[in-house]
Amino acid sequence: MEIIFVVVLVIALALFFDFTNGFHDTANAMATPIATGAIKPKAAVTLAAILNLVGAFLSTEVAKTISGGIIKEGGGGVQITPDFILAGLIGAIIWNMATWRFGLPSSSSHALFGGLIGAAIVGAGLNSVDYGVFLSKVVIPALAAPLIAGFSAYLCTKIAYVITRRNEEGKTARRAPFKYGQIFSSSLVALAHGTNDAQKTMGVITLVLVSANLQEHGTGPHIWVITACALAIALGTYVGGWRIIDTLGTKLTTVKPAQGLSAETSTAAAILASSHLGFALSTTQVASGSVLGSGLGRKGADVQWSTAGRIASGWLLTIPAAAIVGGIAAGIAHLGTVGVVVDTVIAVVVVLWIYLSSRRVEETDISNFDTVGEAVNIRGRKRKLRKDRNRKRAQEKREARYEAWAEKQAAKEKRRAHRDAKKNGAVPAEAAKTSSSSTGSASGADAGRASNTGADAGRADASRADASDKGDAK
Amino acid sequence: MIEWSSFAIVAAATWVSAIIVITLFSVGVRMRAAHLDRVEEGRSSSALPVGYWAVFGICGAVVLLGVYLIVPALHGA
Repeated sequence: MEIIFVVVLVIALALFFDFTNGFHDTANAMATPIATGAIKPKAAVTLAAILNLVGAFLSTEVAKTISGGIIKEGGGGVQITPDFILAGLIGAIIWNMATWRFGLPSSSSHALFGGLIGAAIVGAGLNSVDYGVFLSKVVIPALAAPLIAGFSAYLCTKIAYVITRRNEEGKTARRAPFKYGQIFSSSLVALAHGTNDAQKTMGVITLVLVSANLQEHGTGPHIWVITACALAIALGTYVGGWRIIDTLGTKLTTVKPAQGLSAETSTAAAILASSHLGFALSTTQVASGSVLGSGLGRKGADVQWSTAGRIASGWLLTIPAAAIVGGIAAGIAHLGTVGVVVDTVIAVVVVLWIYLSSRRVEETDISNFDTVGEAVNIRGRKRKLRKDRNRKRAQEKREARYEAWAEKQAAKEKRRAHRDAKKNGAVPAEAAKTSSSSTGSASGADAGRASNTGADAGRADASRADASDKGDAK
Repeated sequence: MIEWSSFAIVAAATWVSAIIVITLFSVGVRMRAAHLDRVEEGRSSSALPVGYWAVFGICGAVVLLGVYLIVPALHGA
């Protein structure tokens, strides 16, 4: 009875892990199309959820080992018990929640490996981990994935812009089809994710059932396991990790459609190549590398290296952090059923705490965003106001100068006319003529001023148009 | 332990396939742009649509190839 209780708990945790995996990884496929506006956010997560659901049913290859050989399982190594898997899952779930909380894209499978490694070290000592496999399956791919995908996306972005750039006068590039292309490329990534990641949870649940003698050794996952895992990952994908989508889609670099298509094509190519040519790469790391590379490839796209650094440090911490949590959970689980219950309660409390704290901070986050946005706007508006004011002042000054000049001129004319009249001996008709001519010249000056101010206004308009053009270019 | 050869193969496969797809797609985008310009100028352009639809068609076929590779039931893995 006790063992069944533990198995049920493990299955529940495994499905929750699958759920976190889903909302953690929505970003891999959908961050870039959402960022470029190729697909609306709601439609994007729906599409990704459906493709993950379908993908989960399409491939039901069960892993032979739970950790892919990183942990020496079975004879001479760690005995795969439900307790052990429970501890590993708790480590993975808590790390997944924590990275989601900080909006960091991190590999869910690495989190699971980390949790299991911690549990294995606590349960069977440091020798239970095969460090050679660890190096070749975790460390090297983590370095290789961003390099391969990033370089690919960099080249693709360069190529896309070089080919579609049009130097002729008055001809626009018309890059709209890139947006439609994005729908297909990101769908491909989502489908690949469904076939890969739902399998992991199916494998975990099947191994638990086998280890508890509830399922025959060497048989595939039950249909209810497949269905439950498919639904869990699809639901997680639909809920969508907005924080991670935001990080990957907007905080790392600004993504334009041609760039997004390049990034997604590179991601899809890298995932397919790695899963068929035997060098397993993490989807998350590939996708992050692609976005970074595409940012480097487009002129004018600035890469936020601080965000990239945060993501990289998240990757470095994944295994040790999940291992520590997994190890502590394994230590508590050794107490027996009581320990397992305590573990689960603690895990639930921590997950809820992270979730609630994220909601609280989200509010302040949003308000911060608002103030930042407003500050930027206000500065922009202020600058514009100041500019307008200066322009007006300059205009007034100019007008005043012209007026003064015109008055002076008129006075001079008058004086001269007066002088002339005096000299010539006061001929009324002539005086009238000169006075009329003087008003004529004054009106001429007026006209000159008017045309001058008109030209000024025209110039001001042109400079404003220039500025707005520059703004658009930015 | 570190499989450098498979690393190199994966890298090369990724680069080559992604670049081929993007190049084709970009050429299609360029042809479509040229076509739209011609239409706006009132000139006839019947060859360009054929060209860009052909190129987009090839890209679509590549996507289908990707689906084929993703689904194990289709290639018996």
